[in-house]
Amino acid sequence: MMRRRPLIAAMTLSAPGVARARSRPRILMMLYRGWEEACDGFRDYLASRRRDVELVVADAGEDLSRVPDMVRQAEAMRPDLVYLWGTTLTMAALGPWDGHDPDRHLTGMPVVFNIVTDPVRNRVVRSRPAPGRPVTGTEYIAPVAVQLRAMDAYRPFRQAAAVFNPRERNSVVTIEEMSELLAARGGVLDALPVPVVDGRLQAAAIPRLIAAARARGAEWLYIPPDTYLNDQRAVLTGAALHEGLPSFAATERFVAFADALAGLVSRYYSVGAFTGFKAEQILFGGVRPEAIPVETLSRFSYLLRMDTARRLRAYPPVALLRIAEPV
Amino acid sequence: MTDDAGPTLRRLVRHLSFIAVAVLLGTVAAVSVAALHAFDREVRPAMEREAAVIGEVVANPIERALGLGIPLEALVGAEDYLAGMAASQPAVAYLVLTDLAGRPRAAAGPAASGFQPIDVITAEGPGSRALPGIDETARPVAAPGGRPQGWLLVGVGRAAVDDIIVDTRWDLAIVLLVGVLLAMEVLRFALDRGVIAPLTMIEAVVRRLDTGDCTRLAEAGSADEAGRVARAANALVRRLGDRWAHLQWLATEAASTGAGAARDAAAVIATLGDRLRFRDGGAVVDAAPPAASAARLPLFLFVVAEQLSTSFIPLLGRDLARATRGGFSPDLLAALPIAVFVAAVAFATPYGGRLTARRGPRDAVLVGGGVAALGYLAAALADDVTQFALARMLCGIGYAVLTIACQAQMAMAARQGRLARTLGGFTGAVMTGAVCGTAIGAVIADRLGYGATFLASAGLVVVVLGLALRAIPRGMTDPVAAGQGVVAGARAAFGNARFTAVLLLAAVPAKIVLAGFIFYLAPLALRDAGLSQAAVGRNVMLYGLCMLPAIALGGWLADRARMGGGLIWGGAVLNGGALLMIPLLPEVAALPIAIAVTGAAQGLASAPMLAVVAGMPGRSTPLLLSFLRLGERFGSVIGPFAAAWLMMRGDAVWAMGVLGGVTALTGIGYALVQRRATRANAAIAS
Repeated sequence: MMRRRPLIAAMTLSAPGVARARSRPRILMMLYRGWEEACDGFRDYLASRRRDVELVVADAGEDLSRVPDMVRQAEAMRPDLVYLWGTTLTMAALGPWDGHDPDRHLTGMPVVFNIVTDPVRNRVVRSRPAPGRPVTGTEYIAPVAVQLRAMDAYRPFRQAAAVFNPRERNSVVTIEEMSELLAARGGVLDALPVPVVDGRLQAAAIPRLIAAARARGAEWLYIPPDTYLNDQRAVLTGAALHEGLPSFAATERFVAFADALAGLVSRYYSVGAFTGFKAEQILFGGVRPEAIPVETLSRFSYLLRMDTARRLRAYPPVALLRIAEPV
Repeated sequence: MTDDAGPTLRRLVRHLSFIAVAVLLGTVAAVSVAALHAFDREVRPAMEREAAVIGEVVANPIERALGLGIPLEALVGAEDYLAGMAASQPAVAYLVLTDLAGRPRAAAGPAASGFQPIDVITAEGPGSRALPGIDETARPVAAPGGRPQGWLLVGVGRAAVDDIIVDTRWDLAIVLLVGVLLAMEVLRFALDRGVIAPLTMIEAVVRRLDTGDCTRLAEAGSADEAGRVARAANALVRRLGDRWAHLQWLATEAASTGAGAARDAAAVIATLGDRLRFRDGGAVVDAAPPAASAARLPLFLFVVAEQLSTSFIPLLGRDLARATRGGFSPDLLAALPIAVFVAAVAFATPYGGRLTARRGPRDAVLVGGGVAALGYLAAALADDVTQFALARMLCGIGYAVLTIACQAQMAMAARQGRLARTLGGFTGAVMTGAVCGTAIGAVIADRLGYGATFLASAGLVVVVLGLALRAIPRGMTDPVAAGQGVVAGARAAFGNARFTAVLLLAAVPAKIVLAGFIFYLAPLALRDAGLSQAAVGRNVMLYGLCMLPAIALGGWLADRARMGGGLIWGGAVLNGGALLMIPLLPEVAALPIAIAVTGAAQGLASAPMLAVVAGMPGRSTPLLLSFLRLGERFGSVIGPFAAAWLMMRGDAVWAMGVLGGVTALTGIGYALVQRRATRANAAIAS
């Protein structure tokens, strides 16, 4: 079931008066796992710019089977802009840029996406500078090569392990790239897909996977951008900590709200605000989405969880403390 | 007019110059020493502040780590971190992190291996230490709000500051030198015009009256004391003339009264006639002879004006070339203004000589200065490299005409027996002007910009024109060359074996060595030997410093001892010997010696060379001098190419040796030519 939630905040942004209310742009926010910090950033950016918009929220509740209904709902509503959250939902709602099906995918309305991993490799857009369709948005993870350097700066390594959800394309793509980069410098990535039994992911297997990887010589646990793992972040990072394995995350929550040791991340809130800027360009600047490049933030946050560092006795190098943000 | 001054006046000038220079030197030296002390006082505390700031920055992440609960002994990557920070701060000699007891935990920096552990740590900490070549500052490291857990010792090397102080000393010395040279030139001009010339004139009047010469009057145009004396003397001469005429009339009247009276009157007239001389029709004004030094200050100031832009012309040319659209490379276009200037000087020099011969030095200076001033104005307004090159062409034409006019004026006005010394003054004025102009020009350009510097040059040339109008007398044309074209003049000049010998065996080789060795090979070799740019510049400056006194000495020896020819060939042999010595000694020692000897040798030969050319009988001095300068330009142009060509076939030292060998051989060649000419003259005389 699709859930609609016109936001109180958005309502308060609206100016009084019927005539103005009718001209107020409507944004349909299609979310994958509910309202979170990126949505806050998106909303607050528009509010800070005094942009009078109506936000309508539709949440898939991490159930991809709801996406066709959400798409039909959008077709019926004809909003001025669709906001898509997350790689999985975005791929399902938009389809590949070179294989678009008007019966199944959003058609004829401008779209901004947020919290999406590698939209080119995932074929959401043709290229970052020229999306090739009325779609633009933001990426939120640091380039994988930069993440690799960030891990190396903390603790040089040759072998790492990575647990991931084989059903999430964003996760798979990131693991592939990390594996290629490590191989290029003579390292190894021990890729560990979460087992699927009877169509269900087996979270209970995660500690065992990590213990085995540790036994095989893993020096880091790399955590890719992964919605499923985000739900299991306490189990995942707790298991790594138990095994004495430092963990490095591509996204904020594993460090901020779990026990990962470090991460090079874009703050969700900042990425959301950046996406709000692109929405503003489309709705109020008269710029076509296909003319707006897909971008990421130019600065990232190097998060450190000092509790974990102390428990692992894996202190960060002094030089890293000049830039890192302890949490 | 110093040339014409008597021994007393020369002594007066020497004393005045000595006192003025001594006072100036003393004052500037005192100010310089005070400035250096002030610099030292300001810099040392600044060093300590810098060390404190560095310590603050370096300690920050360490203290953050301590604040996050990382123990000092468990810090990760402290040594790498300190190494990175030390590498980013050139002044840092070492960074050492110690525990509270002073035991090093991590150390980095170029002098870290020589770090001396702290002996005593008081309750306030280790404090500051002054170690050999290093100032050390200690700073506690502690978690924010916590107690110190260790010390960060920041060692800052004094070498960088010492280098700055040494460079500043040199800068002050250069300013001192420029100030003294400038003061000397102005003082010389002021003394000549304000003291020597009037006193010489009064002395001449007194001498004439002393000998009973009442045929001539003094020039009494000036309103000063000398003018009043001259007018009084002239009145006396006129009164005497009137009395003489009256006496002669009385004698005629007395003679008509009788033979005895006639005899007595004739005796009186004869007695007076023995003591006094009168001119029939009254005394006439005795025009003062032209002053050889009249052109010196205008020349000096003009060279200053030209050299103001020397330091930045290549840079400005490159900037304008980059802004110019076209198919040529900017680097190639950037050379255009320089090449155009050199070509304009070369081609305009003979025409400048001809103009000087036909219209006199004064008019030629006015024409040359006017063209150059237009050039500087155009250079200040130039928007692209083509306009700039055209402007520099005007500057080159003006430079050629004005300098040859001044040189000719000095040669033609030189007193008998002082030709070499007077012409040595030309080279001296050009050299001092170049030193002063280059040094001041760099400062003006740095503070006010390129355009303002060219405007300053134009303004200075206006001053030159004013001085020329006042100081350089009209006339002094050369009837021999007045009707002669440049080509005919060249034919006449190069048909003269003595002139050709001086040109090819002395003047051109000297310029090849100057441009090829001093300006090309020596800087390259010194740089390759590891000297800094400033040190290379100071070594090259030795050339000028040794040349200036040698010019005066060479002029004096040529005039007094009549050994001009010997100085020309002896200088060449000495120069060649100095260059040939380079391969035998370590370069760092041999090169400065060779540069200094080259300066001295070329200085000794400079004035005699000009005197030989200017003193050639039956030839036009302006034209001969212009062709000599043209030949020297040619030598200056081919010098670097010759040096580069030689270097390609060996190395820099080998190239210097070859240049030295050739120079010595040309000197010997000139000696042989001179000997043959002397024998021929002796044969004719006998």
